[in-house]
Amino acid sequence: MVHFVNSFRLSFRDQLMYGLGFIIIFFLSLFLYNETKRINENTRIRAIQEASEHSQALASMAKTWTMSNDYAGLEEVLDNFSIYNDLVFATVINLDGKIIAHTSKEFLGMYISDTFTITFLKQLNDYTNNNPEIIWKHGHYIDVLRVIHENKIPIGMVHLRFNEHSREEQIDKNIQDSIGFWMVYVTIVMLLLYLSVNTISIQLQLLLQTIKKIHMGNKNIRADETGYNEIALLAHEFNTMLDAIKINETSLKETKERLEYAVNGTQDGLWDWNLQTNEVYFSPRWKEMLGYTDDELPNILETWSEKVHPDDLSEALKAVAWSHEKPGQLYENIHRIRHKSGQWIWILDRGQTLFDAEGKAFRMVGFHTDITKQKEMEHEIKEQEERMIAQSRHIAMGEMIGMIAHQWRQPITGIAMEANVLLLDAELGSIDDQTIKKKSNEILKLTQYLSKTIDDFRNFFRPKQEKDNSKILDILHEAQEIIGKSLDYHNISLSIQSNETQNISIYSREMLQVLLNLIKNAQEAIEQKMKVGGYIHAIVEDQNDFILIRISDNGGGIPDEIIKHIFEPYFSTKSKETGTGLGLYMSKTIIEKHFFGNIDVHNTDEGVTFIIKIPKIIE
Amino acid sequence: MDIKTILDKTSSLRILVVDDEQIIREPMCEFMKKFFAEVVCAENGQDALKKYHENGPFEVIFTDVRMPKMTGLELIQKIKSVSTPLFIAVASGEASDVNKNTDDYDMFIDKPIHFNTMLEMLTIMVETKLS
Repeated sequence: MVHFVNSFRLSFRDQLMYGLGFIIIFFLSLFLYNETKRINENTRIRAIQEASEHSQALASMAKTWTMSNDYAGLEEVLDNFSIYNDLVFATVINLDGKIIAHTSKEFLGMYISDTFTITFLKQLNDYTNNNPEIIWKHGHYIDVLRVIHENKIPIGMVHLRFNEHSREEQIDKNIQDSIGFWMVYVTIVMLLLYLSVNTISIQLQLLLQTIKKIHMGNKNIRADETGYNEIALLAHEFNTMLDAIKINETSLKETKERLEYAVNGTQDGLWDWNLQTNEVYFSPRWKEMLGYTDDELPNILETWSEKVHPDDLSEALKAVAWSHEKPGQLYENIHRIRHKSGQWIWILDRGQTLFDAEGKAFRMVGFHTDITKQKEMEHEIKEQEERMIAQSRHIAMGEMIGMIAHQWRQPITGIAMEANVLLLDAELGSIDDQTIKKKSNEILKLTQYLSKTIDDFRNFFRPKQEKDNSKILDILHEAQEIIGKSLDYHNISLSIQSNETQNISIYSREMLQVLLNLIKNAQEAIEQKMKVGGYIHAIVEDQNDFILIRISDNGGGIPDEIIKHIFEPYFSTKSKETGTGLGLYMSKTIIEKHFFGNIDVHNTDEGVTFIIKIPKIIE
Repeated sequence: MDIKTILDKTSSLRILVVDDEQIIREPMCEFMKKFFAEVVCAENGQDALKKYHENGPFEVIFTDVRMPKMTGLELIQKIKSVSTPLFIAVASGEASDVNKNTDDYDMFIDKPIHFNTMLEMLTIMVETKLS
């Protein structure tokens, strides 16, 4: 930049010198012109004045001699006039036009011949009062004609001629002297000015060189503060600025280093995207994360976008576009990127868009965090969870079979007994159509009952993914249908209470699994205590935004040191034959992950109460 | 032993049948009516004890084990404290429910009960108690 400016512009010094020189010459010319004009004018006036004075003196002196016709006296007078260097001639003429005296003796006694003088002579009377003289200039000469009068009567005239040549030469000489003086004066002034400006210029040059050196990397150099006051002040201010910059630089360097440490410490990859040029700076760590060295990948957006997993790209771009529209909005997206080895790695991408004064996005900066390990772990946990869910389903099925056995034992026994009666009648030979019909209908009724219980169970096992609309009360009744016989068998009563007024949207099969699990746990607790008069209360409370389900029993409760672990997987207080340790864990998982609710437990006087709280969703 | 022989021996006896399930109790009572002179049916141990005191004594007791209010085994103990029935049979779907060596009853029967088991029970009763 500096060189560019230099090649097109005059230096400060030259500019100042040219400018001042031009101004001085202009004003000097003007001054000299005026001065010459003034001197010329003055000289002319003085010459005419002198001519007039001489003629007056001559006329006055000549008067007496003319009246007395003493020509010898006139000659004497004219001789006196010869002392004037510039006098060409002087003559006295009488009224007849005869030259009665002349500075050149050869003209004496001659008559005047030139018309102008003759005309003047003829009109002498006119000049007596007002203007007794005529003065005119021709060439270098000034001529004066003057009337000689006595008591206002003309008696003759004088004629004088002056040569102004020498006087004009004198004037020219004066002017030349004057110009010469001014030229010398101006030259000296310009020289002094040049020296002064040059000194300033040199100091400025020195300052410039200092700046150049700093620019080239010499940070410790300082500007010279001696010299003229203003330049010294400038240098001083420059040095002050230099100090301030140094402090800023140090602080900036510290900030940069801190940032670098932080970035390197987190092992995150930095990217910096110029939205105007589409250029993206990717830090070496960014590239290393993908298995590349710094020079292997170009700094363009496609380096990133072409490596993103096709399934993730549109979402990622959407998130980027969104952050370009909302100032202050942080960008965050998780996507897969292809590693050099061909594997996919998981990236947590976070950044921020910068906006200009008009609110236009112009830059975006962010970090890549490799979260592949976390993702793999998550995947593993999820797989494990799925395994547990499958396992718990198998266990639940096993338990169901036990429940089916209870459910079926009585009707099957009934069917067997009906058959026994028929067989007996046949054996005794007392069979009749009436009995056959009656017994067959009884048997069919019982088989229908069996069929219905089969449906109940099949309903439970069906992996229903969709939500349906039902009341918790209905689901509790379903649970009662399934487990009721088993409870009856152990003399355990199940009471159900609800204030629900409307259906909620719910995964009813999963809720059934949870409720069955809790009821079955209560049943087993009561059985273990060998309690007579065991009871289970299920109370549903429909609150404004939540549904509360309380399952209480009088099974004796859970010891305090155990109660906090009961929701952990594979934790069981039951004997190994009956307990799996997955039931409550699964119940908790279902309530939290599928219903976004929570499950809690606490001991009561007689047993425990489980409380399920789920948000109420109505469709 | 054929049915007619059994009938000869049982037709003069009274039986108390106890089961909480109506679907079992009714055909059971109907079945017993073919053999016994009088059949009284009860819904549970408590009901049975009441009926035993009101209509008793009964020579034969046939009871379910698991029932609300009073179990079959409790009922037997209570009856035995006042009298000694000729033959007591208990029936249950749960094999583990009853100690088969107990002296409280004469026979344990698994539910559901096959026709032959019913006849076997009656035969044993006739052979051991009525011959």
